[in-house]
Amino acid sequence: MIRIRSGLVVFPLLFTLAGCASTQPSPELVDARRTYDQVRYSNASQYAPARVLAAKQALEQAEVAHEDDAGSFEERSLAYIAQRKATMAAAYADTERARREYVAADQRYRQLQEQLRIQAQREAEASQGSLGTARQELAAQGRQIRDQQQQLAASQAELELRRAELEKERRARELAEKSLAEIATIKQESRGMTITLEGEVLFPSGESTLLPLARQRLDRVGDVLKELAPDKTILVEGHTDSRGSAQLNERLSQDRADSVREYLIGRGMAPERLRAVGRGESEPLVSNDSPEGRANNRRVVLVVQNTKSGKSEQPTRGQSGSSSP
Amino acid sequence: MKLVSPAVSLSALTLMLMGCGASTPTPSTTEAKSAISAAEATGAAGDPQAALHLKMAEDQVRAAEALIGEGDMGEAQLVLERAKVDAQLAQVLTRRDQMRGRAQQAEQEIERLQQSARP
Repeated sequence: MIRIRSGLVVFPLLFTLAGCASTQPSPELVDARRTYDQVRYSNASQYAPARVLAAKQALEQAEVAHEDDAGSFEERSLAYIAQRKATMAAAYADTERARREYVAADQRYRQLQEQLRIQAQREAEASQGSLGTARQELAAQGRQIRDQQQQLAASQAELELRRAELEKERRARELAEKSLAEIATIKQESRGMTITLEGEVLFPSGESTLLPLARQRLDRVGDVLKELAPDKTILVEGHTDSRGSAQLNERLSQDRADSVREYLIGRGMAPERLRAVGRGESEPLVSNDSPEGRANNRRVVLVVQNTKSGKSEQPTRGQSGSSSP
Repeated sequence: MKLVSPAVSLSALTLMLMGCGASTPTPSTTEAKSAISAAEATGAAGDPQAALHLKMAEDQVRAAEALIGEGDMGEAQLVLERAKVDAQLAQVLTRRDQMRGRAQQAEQEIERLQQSARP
């Protein structure tokens, strides 16, 4: 920046007259030359060439006036004007430089703004993206949970069903036990509920004709079966002890099973629900060594089979339809 | 020659004056005054360096008016031109300082923006 020195405002006529005679440059001209030199050797012409040129021309006019009439008021005034114009040229250059700085800064500001906007947008998009991913993951988890819940519900329903079945079976057994406690032994086996009747109370020794008391007992058994297992297949098994020949025993046990089956059919049970089989002495409950053991082994067992009655029945050894083979 | 007649010396003085200042018609103060108005409109009064030149311009316009009143038209013309260039300089200095201020402000805004962008 170029400092400006203020010139004098009042110029008495006497000075002018004295100046006309002098060849020394006026203080104004000295000031103007100095100021112009500063401008000339600065980078002002780069920013304000026209103004520097105008300052130069103004100084030249002052120099001409100095040569024509050194120390004159005209010379001093033209020098004064030249000094102001040189100062102005410097100020213009400074202004132009500042203007360019301002424009550049403004541009940088805008670029920065745009950059920040893009950055913010990217961040927003990124967070949107991760939000989307999180949402998808959440949805997948939700589906998984729903599936698991459905499976759980299904298995719970199944469990409930099974529990209900077991409960039904348990109640059936309880009822059967209650009503048949005095005349039979009730057991739950894997093949189904078994009702075991002692041989002594059903048949005379060595025979397959039912005793009158046995009919009463079988009536109660038939009632219970009708009530508790109306749709189940009943297997009637005849068993003997080990005395006598096995062949005879098998025959006897088959006959006895047939007798029980026929009696129950006679009492109104559907024939297709009943099967009779003679096991002979092949499946003793206990040892046949004692009379008590043998008495236990002589028996008729009614098996309330777990499979429902129908065609899908496995063939059983020694099985017979309506009567013995 | 020992004595110079007053008439001769007066005419010589007149000639000198005419040679130095030239005989001109009454100069107009309009240009100088409008330059002052322009500088004031730009805000020169509020800028210390510009205000100094504005004052010089105003003083010289008054001086020129006085000279015109005295009939010194040539000198008045020169003084008015000086006044005009001072007023112009006042305006240019004002503009320069304003532009510098704007450039500085823009830099500060950039800095603020950069700081606001940092987490």
